[in-house]
Amino acid sequence: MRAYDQSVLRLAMNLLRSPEDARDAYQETFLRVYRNLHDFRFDCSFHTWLYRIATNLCLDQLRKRRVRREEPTVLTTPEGTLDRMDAVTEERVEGDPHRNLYSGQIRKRVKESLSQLTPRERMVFELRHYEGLRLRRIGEVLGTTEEAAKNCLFRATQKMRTALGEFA
Amino acid sequence: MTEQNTCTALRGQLALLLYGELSFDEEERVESHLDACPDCRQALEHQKMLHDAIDAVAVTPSPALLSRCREDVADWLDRKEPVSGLAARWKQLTAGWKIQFLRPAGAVALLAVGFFAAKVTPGLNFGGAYQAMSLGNFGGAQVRNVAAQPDGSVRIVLDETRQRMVSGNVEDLQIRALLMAAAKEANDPGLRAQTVTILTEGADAEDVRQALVFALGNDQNADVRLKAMEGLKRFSGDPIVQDALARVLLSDSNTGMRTQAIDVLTARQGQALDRQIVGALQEMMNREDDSYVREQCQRMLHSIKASAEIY
Repeated sequence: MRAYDQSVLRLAMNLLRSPEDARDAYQETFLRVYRNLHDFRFDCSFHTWLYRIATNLCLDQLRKRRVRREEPTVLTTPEGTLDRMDAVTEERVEGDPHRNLYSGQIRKRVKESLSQLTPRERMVFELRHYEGLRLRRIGEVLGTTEEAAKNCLFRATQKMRTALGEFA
Repeated sequence: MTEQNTCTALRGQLALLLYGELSFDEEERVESHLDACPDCRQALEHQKMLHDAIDAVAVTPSPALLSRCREDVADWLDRKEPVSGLAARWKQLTAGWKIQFLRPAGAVALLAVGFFAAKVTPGLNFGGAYQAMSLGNFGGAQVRNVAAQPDGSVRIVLDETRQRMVSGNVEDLQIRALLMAAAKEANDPGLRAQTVTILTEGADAEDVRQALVFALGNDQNADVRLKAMEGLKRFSGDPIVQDALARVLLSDSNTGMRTQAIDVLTARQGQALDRQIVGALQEMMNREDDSYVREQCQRMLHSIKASAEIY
């Protein structure tokens, strides 16, 4: 379980962009696993089943946010956009020259472009790019086909490319 | 299709190219075009930069947050009664997968040079769980040696203030108690292995089976664990034994042990398997290094029509 729970928390953090929401999603995921273990039919791997629960919870949360427009992760202030996740400690930033190559402005644009994706596009993108899952696996986790996941990823990357355009 | 349209269509696939998610034919078309189109090669470099920028905004949960999350779940589980046998066993399994080491037997006096013995402690509990069981009341005696006899009885050498020998059959409760204590607490792995072999003869008894399951999951010595597994083979249909085999598959660092465990299970092809075993077999497909063990896992999963997916 300890090999998987970090992935679940990381996925929730990157999707929900809120440590409080990520913590709730993490807890709810593992509580649902515990409660529903007797229903697990071994028709997929335990890892896939776990991810399915986690992604469904996060998707629900993302959809609620789009409907209610509550607690946006990226806030617009008179001083410019502000991301709640900037308050989260990112361990490797300070000493990582790779990250320091990218100005704050570019990173803000990347975050904004991510927030413009639909919940499904965001989910597929996160699972592919950050979690490294193959499209076939993403399809199983999300209860769809590999082809549908591929089309969704294609749309997501197109939107990102359009939103970010050319940058230095 | 005009060349511009071709480039436009291709650039939409660059991200999938970098993810390795294009089909063979698609990738071939893209690569061929890139060879001939410097603008699209530049677009590919731009896509790589874009991926790097996206990587740069990834968030890594802090250890403190992860720790709090784990505590949240642990607190909830501690307050919760197990809702079913399966959930209770899952809770047990996830509480600690690692092989536990034998606890020291307390204040053990080594009597003779070259010999190690198990401490015999008072307070034998014949009816309780094996882990709580200790040896018979021999007032400080220590098991020095055990040996099977031609007539089927067992000879046990005890050290008290002087050497003492007792003989009897495995069916004898006191003899069995001494043997089970020796299997659990003897410092000499050879003595533990010999004791486990003798106990195998009496494995029909519930307490002996518990002793073998304990040895299988906890003994530091692979030979002892192997002998315990051999003794439990004919009980591989028992859910408790299958649980123990699942732990071996997932936790035992010895390849021979995992090979034996999967062989015991594949002997049950076509028969029902405990759910814990099915989960363990699926987990093995993702993490097992040994190709024989993986193949056997896959064979078992196919035989019961469970998923054997590998990612």
